[in-house]
Amino acid sequence: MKLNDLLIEKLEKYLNDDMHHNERELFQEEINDSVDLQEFIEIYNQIDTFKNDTDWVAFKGDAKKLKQVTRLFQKSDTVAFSQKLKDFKSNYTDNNSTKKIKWQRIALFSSVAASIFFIFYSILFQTSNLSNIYEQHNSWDEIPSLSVKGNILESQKNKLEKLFLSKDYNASIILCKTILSSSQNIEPNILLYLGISQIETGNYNDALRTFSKLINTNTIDSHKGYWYKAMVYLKLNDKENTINTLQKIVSNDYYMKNDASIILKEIK
Amino acid sequence: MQNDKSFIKGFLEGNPKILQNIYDNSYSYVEYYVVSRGGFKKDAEDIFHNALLLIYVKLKEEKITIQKFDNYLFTVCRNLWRRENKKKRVTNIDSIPLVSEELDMATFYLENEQWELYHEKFKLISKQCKEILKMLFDKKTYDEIVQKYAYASKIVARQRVFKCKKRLIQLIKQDKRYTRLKK
Repeated sequence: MKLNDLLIEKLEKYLNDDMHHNERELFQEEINDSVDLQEFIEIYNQIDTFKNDTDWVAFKGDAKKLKQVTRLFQKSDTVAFSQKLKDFKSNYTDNNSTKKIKWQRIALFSSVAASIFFIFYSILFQTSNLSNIYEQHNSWDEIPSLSVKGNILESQKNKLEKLFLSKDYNASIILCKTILSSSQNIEPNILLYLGISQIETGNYNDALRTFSKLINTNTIDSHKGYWYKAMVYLKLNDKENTINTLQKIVSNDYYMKNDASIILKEIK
Repeated sequence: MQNDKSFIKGFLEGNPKILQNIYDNSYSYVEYYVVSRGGFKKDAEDIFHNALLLIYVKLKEEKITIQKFDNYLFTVCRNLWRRENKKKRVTNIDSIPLVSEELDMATFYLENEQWELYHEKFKLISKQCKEILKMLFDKKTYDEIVQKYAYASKIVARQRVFKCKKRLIQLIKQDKRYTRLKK
């Protein structure tokens, strides 16, 4: 049975819940007898979920087809490829761990070197204040890149990174706000870019609010917010809040813990 | 580099340099996506592995052309996570049936094919239809649709939604892949 105009009209009323009880019961019988009507209703309902980030449309097709595809995953070359991936992954993890250890050593060496420098600097010039410390730590090199792959990161994010790197912080703020207002996801990296741009344009209170938002996202990067908040307090010469925030970083093993403990020793 | 023939050939052969490139470029984003949505690192690892396996089978069997490998990989990973997430939500751990890994992957393979078909056809409907349906996907109410498009009433908005969905259904059903998935 093909779906003619009359059936489409009935479908519309049925799906929009515009049918009277008796009319609905009669049409339900028609649906039970028609594969076309059943398919239409099935896809109609699936459309609502196929774009939903938290839902998924299960397969309701032919069992033979499923068997056929299952065989593809049982083929010897597929199994061999799966094994190659597993072997590669175990080496990849090892490589990463080696790299991590190497970087940890470099970080440790840098921290020690930085400590010596701080002590020498303090003794020699006795002019160390919070602003000086801020100037030595306000490198944004650690900020994660946005020029990444996948549909999750649109061209706007690539544009944002370019603006940020070219130090056009006012334009970065506008673009960050646009992305944040249009995104359905939590965007910790965008909050990071926004907060730093606000620091760079002198909007320190806005920056503090942004980093508080970042902390409240409860994402894996949310703790970075404390480090950047500490940077703002340093810039504002707010010793009490700088110390409180840095202590939080050190005691909780948060991002930039080593640098935080060096600064704490310096300003206490 | 990721789109040329030698890259795909190397991927299908499991060339470590190509796999290194793929892991370096994409794994951290997938891990971030999964972990930031309540998953664990192990979930991300499994999803990444299964997505690469699916792409392998797809490339071998369907001779498809992938425009941007890393984009495609991310989309498959995202879909795998959505599916895993739904499974976790709707099934009790004790009632999960014992299904072979291959059968589970095959089921996802077909579901993903269905998703790709819907996604592709969605791009073909009118701009306004896309916007209206997107509002529904975003759980906006009919009142909001009425307000945005200055429709006379909710009935008019419902009629418009129906027409948009009807057009999308036509496009989906006209495609050979739909029949292939069903039979």
